[in-house]
Amino acid sequence: MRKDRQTQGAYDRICPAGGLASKGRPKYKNPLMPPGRRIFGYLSIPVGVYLFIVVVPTLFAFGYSFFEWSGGPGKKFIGLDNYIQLLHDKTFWLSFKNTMLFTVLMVAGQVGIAFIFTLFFTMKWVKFVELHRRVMYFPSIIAAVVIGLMWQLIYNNDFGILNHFLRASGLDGWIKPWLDDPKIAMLSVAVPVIWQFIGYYLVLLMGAVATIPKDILEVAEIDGATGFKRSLYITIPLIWDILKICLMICFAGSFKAFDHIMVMTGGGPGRATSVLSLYNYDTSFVQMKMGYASAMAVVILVVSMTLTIGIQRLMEGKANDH
Amino acid sequence: MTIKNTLQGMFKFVVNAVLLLFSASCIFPILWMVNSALKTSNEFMQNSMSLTTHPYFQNFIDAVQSSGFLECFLNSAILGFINVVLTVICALVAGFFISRYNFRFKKAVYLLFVSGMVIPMLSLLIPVFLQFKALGMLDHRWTLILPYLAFSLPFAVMLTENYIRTIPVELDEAAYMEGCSTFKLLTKIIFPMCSPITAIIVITSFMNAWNEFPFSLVLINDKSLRTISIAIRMFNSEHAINYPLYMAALLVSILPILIIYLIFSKQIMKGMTVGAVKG
Amino acid sequence: MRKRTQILSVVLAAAMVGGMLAGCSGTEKDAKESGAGGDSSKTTLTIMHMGTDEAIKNGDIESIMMDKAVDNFKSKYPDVELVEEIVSQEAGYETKLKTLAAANELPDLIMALPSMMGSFYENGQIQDLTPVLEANQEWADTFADGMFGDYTFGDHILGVPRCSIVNHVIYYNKDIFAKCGMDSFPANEQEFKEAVKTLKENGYIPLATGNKGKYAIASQVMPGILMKFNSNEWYEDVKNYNGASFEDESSVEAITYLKELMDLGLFNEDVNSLDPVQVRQMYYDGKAAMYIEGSWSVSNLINEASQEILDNTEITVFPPVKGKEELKGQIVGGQGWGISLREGLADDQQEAAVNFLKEMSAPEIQTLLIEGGSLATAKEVDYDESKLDPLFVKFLDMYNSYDKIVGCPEVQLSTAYMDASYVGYQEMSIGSLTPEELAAKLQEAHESAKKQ
Repeated sequence: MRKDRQTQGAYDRICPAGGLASKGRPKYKNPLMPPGRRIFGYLSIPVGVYLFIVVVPTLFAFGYSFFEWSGGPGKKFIGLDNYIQLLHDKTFWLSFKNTMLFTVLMVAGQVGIAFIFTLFFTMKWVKFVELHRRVMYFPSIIAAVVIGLMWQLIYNNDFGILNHFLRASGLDGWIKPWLDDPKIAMLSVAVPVIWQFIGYYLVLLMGAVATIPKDILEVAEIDGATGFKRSLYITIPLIWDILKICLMICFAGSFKAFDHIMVMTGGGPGRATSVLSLYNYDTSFVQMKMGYASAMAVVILVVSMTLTIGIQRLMEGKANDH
Repeated sequence: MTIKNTLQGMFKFVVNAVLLLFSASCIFPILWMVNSALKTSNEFMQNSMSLTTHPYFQNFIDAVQSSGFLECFLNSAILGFINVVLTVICALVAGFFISRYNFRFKKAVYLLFVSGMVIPMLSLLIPVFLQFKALGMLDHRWTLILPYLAFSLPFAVMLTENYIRTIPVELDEAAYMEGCSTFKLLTKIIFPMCSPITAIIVITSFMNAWNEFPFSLVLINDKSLRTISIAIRMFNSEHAINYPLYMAALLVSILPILIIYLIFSKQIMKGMTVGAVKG
Repeated sequence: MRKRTQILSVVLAAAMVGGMLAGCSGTEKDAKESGAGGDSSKTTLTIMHMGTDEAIKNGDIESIMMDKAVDNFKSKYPDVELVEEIVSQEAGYETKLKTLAAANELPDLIMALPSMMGSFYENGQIQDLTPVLEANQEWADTFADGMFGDYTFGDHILGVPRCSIVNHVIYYNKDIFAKCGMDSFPANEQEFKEAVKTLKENGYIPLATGNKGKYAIASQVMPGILMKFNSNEWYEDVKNYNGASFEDESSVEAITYLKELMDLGLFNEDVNSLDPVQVRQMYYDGKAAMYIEGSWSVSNLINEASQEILDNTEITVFPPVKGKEELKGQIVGGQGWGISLREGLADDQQEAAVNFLKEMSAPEIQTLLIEGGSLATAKEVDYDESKLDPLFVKFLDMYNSYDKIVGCPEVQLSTAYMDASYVGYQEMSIGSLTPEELAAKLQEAHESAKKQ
């Protein structure tokens, strides 16, 4: 086997190994690659666990989606009825719209702000970088229940600090029941979540920036605002890989957001902050329509999978332009 | 020129000020929680933002002494630890193979993990329960290990896969030339280089296990096997909540995360410097 | 060939992981069971309820009585092993219960809401208790009239009450009313409207309500109003699909009346983002003239409010509607969470379970309930009058002045109706549904449950 590797060594030098980014290149076989059996040996545990906890139950859920089922032994096969009903379910579509809005806000807010902060932290005139990085990561380790409860109190109409602050600065016209106004409830719910996770992406992005040779950035950092623009152009391509991961993690995480919204508004007022995961939960655990909820879960999975892969394709295309 | 300089000075000042403000807002929750936990229930309900005048430490004592709290704490600590170890190992292995080699089904394996990121886990609650029941896997000390591992893996695999791709493949080659086995390559060369990303995974996967809620509720019946996330929620009863007591319990419950964070955030930083040299 | 081996290895690996775990679980479980089985004379009974230690510490009478009933049962029947699983509402009691129901794994004794019982029964998961009650006539006779109202579905009785409640009690501060020039509580719905206006003008929150959980308006505020506009016969007809509907004029009228009140500023502005515990504080601080919650809140008030507030607090329900005086005597009450028995209990389990139900409604528990500030379920209860809090006495007086207890749709009808009503009233409160649209939605949800 060892001999095998040596003979193919030359081939390897021509075609360096690459990950998924190598998509589109002619297929080659990494000569260092251990035989398939061994790869599968290594991968069997993570993949096996995964099949067991996620894939098999998903297949079950897919099965339930063809039944009218309110729990217990009695299931009635109804074919595609659940899916047809879903198409006409206004609340589902409203929740879908809310989810998309929420996700866009999250991606723009969390990754966007984290990225801007990262750029600032490459500049010499920004003080306490190390302190900032550590402190900003902090909220992301706190459970959603706490964050939700705290912001609920911050938003409180009577004694919340937000309205208190507005009153003190003479902005009485801005005072609002933040979580109760259906027009802004979605935004009010989004802000705490954005705030909480900026630090998480900041740490990931700064990790990538740290791998950029210092002199490249120093060239950019001649002066303030212009330098900022320039470093933007220099930095993005260099940290594109990790930025992509951040965008995907953020997208996926926000698409199934549940806890924060549950704690702050429970999806209300009305359905103003109802997102898919919340409505799905409502359907199965409040209304006890398990079959219908399963159909919904399947659709959510298909939609989010498609979107995630779509976004990934899009970003990879963009990466090739650079 | 001077105007430009002043403008730039102002810009720099504003940016620094904004960043400081934001950082300040990030430690606010913990300070608020500490402050709240030191109040009596009445004091808190009257004004949840005021500073406590007579620190009331009894809440912490009550929280820790409440039935089963410490047991749940320990259960979660064990689960969290196991989850961290398994997640780091599995993510490293999966990330390494996916990033390095073009084996058959690689795309499928990768997609599998992506799907895990987007799937609404709550909708799997009932099927997973049924499955665990059928296999007699409910209500054991290790019952929650597999679900937690599965929830932590997707992000971890994404991160390691991406990170390992930045490690030059020449290292592998050199290692193989010297007769390293794949196992040795993984443990002796790749793993140490992944330390910054590992630190992040350690924190995240510990938190996943520590904060996870509906599965621990449904898959565990035995009171002595309950997790901390359930114990915390027990402080809210149907018609009355003692918020300060709840805060005290929450504070005690985030201590381990805090400690792990403090330990590993250094690791992240160290790793970054290594990364810089490497680059 | 190669491909096949690869697939095979994946499958084998997965099966191995699963099998390994299943394997060791099997042995452990077996060991446990055989250990328990050694003492074969013992009957095991499982129960799931919400009486957490923390709730008991907070003085929640419903939790205290469950705890007491369990203790009494255990000491009286030492040969039965009663295994409790206690989960608080916040910790996901309902989620757990419904997951267990989905998996057909309900415990032997189940604490459930009437709306869930209907569905559990349809799925053959809980017993019709009518035969049990018939066989134990003496025990059944100890209950006051209407104590099975929430649990009666057609000819079936699906649960036994723990206590009795009134869903829509208004707690008001007579001092604030006096300050606004009102000597007494409004006598009819028109006066109530005027009172809301006056209170609002004077800077008070008329009726503090915490509707974040969506049930406060739907199952506390609304039933109180609805059943002043409609007779119990109407409601029974709606419930049994006997021609009456939520879209009937008198029903729409009631919903419209609530909408008018909302538009006058009946509730606190942040009604939809606060929970009941948080809004009670508005009342304690003298910012709100009234607050609404179930009768259980009497004990919360006693525990939490200052003496000054307690002295000024009076207890009532929504005033009668002009021209519908015949409905004056109706009060919306019920039993809320009750206990059901799993279908398919073994004979010894069945006997033990019925004994538990009896224990739960024993005279001692009835006394405990009344003295702890909750309505009991028995016809006759012995209690020490001096142990009652003056506020609870006020409540009892008010309660006894009504002669007809009627049901609450949000409690008794299907879960689909409940969800539509919870969300619907919240939507009406923010103006995205008109009363007519809401009535149509409610009826639609109610009908949808019939098809099943």
